[in-house]
Amino acid sequence: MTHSLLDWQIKKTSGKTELKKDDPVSALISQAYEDYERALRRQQHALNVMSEELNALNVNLRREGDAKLAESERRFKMAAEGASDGIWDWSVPEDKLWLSPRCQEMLGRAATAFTGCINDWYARIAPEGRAKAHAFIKDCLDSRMQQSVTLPLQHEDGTSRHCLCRVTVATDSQGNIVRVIGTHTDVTEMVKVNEELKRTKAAAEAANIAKSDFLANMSHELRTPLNSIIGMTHLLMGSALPAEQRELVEAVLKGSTNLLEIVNDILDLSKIEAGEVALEKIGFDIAYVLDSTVMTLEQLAREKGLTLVGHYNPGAFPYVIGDPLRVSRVLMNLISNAIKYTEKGKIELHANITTDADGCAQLRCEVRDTGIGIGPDKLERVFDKFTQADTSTTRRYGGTGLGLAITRELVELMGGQIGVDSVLGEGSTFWFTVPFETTQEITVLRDRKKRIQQSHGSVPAASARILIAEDHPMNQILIARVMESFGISHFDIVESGRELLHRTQDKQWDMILMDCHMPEMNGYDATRGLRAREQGTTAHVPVIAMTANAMAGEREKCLRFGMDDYISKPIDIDELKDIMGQWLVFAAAEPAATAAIAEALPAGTAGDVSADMAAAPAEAVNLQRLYDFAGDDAEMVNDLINAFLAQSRKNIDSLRTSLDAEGHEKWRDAAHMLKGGAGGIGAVGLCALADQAQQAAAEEDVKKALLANIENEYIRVEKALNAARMLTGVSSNEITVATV
Amino acid sequence: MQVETVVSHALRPEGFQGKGHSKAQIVLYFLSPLYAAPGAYLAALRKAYPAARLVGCTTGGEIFGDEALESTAVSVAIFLEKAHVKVVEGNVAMRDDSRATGHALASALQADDLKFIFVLSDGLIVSGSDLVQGMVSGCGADVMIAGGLAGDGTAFQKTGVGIDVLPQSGKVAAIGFYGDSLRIGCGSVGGWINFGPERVITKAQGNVLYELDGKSALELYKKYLGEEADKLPGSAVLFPLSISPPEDPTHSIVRTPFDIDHEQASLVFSDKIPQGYVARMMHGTRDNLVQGAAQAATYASAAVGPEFQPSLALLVSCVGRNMMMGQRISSEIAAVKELLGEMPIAGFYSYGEICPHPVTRKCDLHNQTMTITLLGEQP
Repeated sequence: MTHSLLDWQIKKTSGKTELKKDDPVSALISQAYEDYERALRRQQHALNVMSEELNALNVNLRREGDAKLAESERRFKMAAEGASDGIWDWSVPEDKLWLSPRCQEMLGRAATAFTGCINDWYARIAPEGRAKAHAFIKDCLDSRMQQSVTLPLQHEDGTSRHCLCRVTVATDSQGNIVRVIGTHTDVTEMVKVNEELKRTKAAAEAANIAKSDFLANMSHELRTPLNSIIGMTHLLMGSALPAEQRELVEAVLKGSTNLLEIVNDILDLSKIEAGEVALEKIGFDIAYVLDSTVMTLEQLAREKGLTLVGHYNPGAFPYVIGDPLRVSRVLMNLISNAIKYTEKGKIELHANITTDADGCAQLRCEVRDTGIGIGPDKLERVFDKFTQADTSTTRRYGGTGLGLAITRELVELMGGQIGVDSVLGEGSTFWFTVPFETTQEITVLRDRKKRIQQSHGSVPAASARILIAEDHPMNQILIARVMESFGISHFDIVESGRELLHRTQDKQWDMILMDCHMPEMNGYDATRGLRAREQGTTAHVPVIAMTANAMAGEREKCLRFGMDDYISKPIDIDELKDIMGQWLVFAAAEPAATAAIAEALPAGTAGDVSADMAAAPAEAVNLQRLYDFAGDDAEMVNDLINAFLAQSRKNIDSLRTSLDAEGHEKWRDAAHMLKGGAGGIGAVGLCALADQAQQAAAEEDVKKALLANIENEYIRVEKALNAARMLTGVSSNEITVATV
Repeated sequence: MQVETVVSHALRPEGFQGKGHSKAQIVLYFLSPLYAAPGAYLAALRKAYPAARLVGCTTGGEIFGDEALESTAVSVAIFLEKAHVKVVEGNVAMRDDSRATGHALASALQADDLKFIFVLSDGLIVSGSDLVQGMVSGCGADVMIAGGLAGDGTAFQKTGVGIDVLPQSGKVAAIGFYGDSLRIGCGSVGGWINFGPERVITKAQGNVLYELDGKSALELYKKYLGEEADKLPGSAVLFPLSISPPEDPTHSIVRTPFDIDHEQASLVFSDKIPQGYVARMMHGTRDNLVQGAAQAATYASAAVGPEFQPSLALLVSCVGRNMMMGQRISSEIAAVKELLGEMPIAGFYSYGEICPHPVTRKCDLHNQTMTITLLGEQP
């Protein structure tokens, strides 16, 4: 059969074509048309069937999805109804809010009362929390993170409840926010308890701070007049008094000295309790601390007819990292205590150290006395505050009962333990342990025993030529005085590294004492220049660095720049002599000054240690240092004071004119010089402030504040020094007592 | 290697017109079930190639040069200069014997220098995939196997294979090609396109499919065939099924439905339909199928190497393609010819193509593909 299309085509072209219906080609063409149309129909049909099939699949999927959704919503509803937390669900695009029954209950309203938009929720937040709620929701929407906040909800009954609101933001696959789901947990009780706790804590803290402040202020306010009383009493005792009055004055002196001791102890303890005491962590030699403590207190024991003996092997102690001053303080307290409560016999200090493989060392010290002992019923309480073994002992021996409490606090602060064994009437053994890390380097304290072994001085001190580089006028006077006391007469002082290089060019020196921080050229560079010049020759002049930087690594720095040894400022005379002894030979029975200082030490020690304890000692100047150097030479004292005050004024002027960032170099130099001077004269507070200033950031506000402190402290120092100047007529022994 | 390909038109009085070759070792012939005088044709072949084994099969259409033909007989005489051949014959009475027969045939051919087996098999009784699996187990996976299942036009009634006699049903002929001089390359591509959703084969047994996704597979086919449903089973060839193991979708293979069982409401496929496999329906357009055929030629050329000129291209295409393309069927042969250039081309439309899987390289039975084997000898 001919295809209808071909049929039509043949008719249409009738007369113009020879193609006939019965032609074999016509059959093929018809078949091709037919095949083509059938294929097309087949494909269209397949497409239709497939569309229907896929559509049915889709409908099924949706129905299944809907069923699953309905099921999960049913479960959710059950969970929401059963939960103790309120749940709400905010559909963001259409602003529809759903609240779980529990949530409605928490808000105090029936479902009908809600319009079903997010403003319902905002409306239930108490007015004071509404801004917070808006900000919180905005933050949640912005960050799309789960967050929580505590909000005050206003209940229908007028009461307010605290509610922990946790919110989760749900987004679709394009990241658009679809819904926000929140839960409410009633935390009213918790908030109440928390606030109560906060109030209690704040009150307790405030009370504690007030107590500490009060104690610190009281102590401070008490010490100044007490010092005056003690000083004046001394003056009074120096005058001619009838025996009766002398007795009265002595009683005043004794009473006020005790009082001062109590005040100092209270101040120390309050500082420890307030956590204001920071332990140092520097390398030091325990043996040296033990030696110097025993040496210091030997005199005190001797005066009481007792012997103080150290039982330990100095070579057995490794260098450790810790706070040497605090260890020394603990030893001082325990030994002083032993001396105080022992009438006859001896005091022994036993010490040993055990080291484990990890480099941890445990120091154990025992102070054994043959004193009055402590009864077993009192043993436990001796370390408590304001407790003594017996109230009667207070009357007999004086003291505050704070000494052992402070000692225990210090030992525990260092991570150690303290205890006592005693038999009443036979004596006591106080012991303590402190753990340390061992080290190879020591920072500040000299290692005496090693140096003494190395000592091979060859130049007699009397003929030695010493060049001293020191820019501070007062320190110049001090060092000159020290040189004289060492029997050294050939010495010269220069003020800068440049000058030093100039003076060493054409003259031979046996030793150089080098201040590290000087104008024009510092000590490090000067030493380097010196060593460069010596290169290729056999010459090597010993250079001893004098630096106020008592920091770890300073010694290494000095040695690296070619210096031979190092001493930290303020200079310890004995130590300096030890160091110089490596190259010089001192005459055997020579130095009067050191002897005098040694004499002065026992009485001064208690005050010294106490001053170290306190971050800002009450006395502007620890005059002990001044008298250590000057002895009873009134002129020298006045010279030193004058030189110090003049230089310090200059330094403070410099500070005042270098507050801006550009002047920071100048500021640091002035601060350093002020620090050196203040340290030298014993103005510990001023020295500490100047140190702060030297390290301060180059910010004008910071510097201004520091300058104000420095100026105030300077006034105090000046006052104290002028007062000391007035006393120069009196013998040194009495004055040192006055500065306790 | 010397080759003579000849096409004979039964309706023309002259019959077989080849030159003949006295030393040709093997003659392949592809004989239309509509060819009027098969006996005379076979006698003419015997006369023209006295030394050769005559191995042939019935077809669903013949391929010669750049044309697809019907009602003809196409012969391919091969003279191998260095290589040699061996022909073995098997008989499959029951479908379940297929695997054992395959194993026996390949084992009989196995030798160290066996390079290639060309197999012609009955297309209705024998399970092609079982046959091939049996052969692989007999000669090892290293020997390439290609060939096809005999056809019966679009009737799916009776197919046959003959060795030195006229084709008989249930027969399998396997020709082993031996020698290092042989160069063989195979390429097989369908060009059909998946459509519609993935469906799980939920009920099937052997090569009978009952249900897809728990629903009647026959009803599904009827729905898709629409007006052509009354032409079942033949029309089902237009929608082959791509099946793959659920764990490995890349190893997909095409299966053609060729019969239906209205009582069982089932479709009978050319080969196994494993239950649990995933199936998708396929459809073809002329352009896609022609492109597929060209692709097969490209793969086969690449397999022998670009520098080597083969002496013969044996084409086994699927009868489903023939039905799908109608008068335009020759365009797939022309596309192959265009790519292969001057080279004797001969072959037939089959009920199943045998060659390595394009992805797994495992020899298998395929449906709805154009499968091309290029043969030659290195000088």
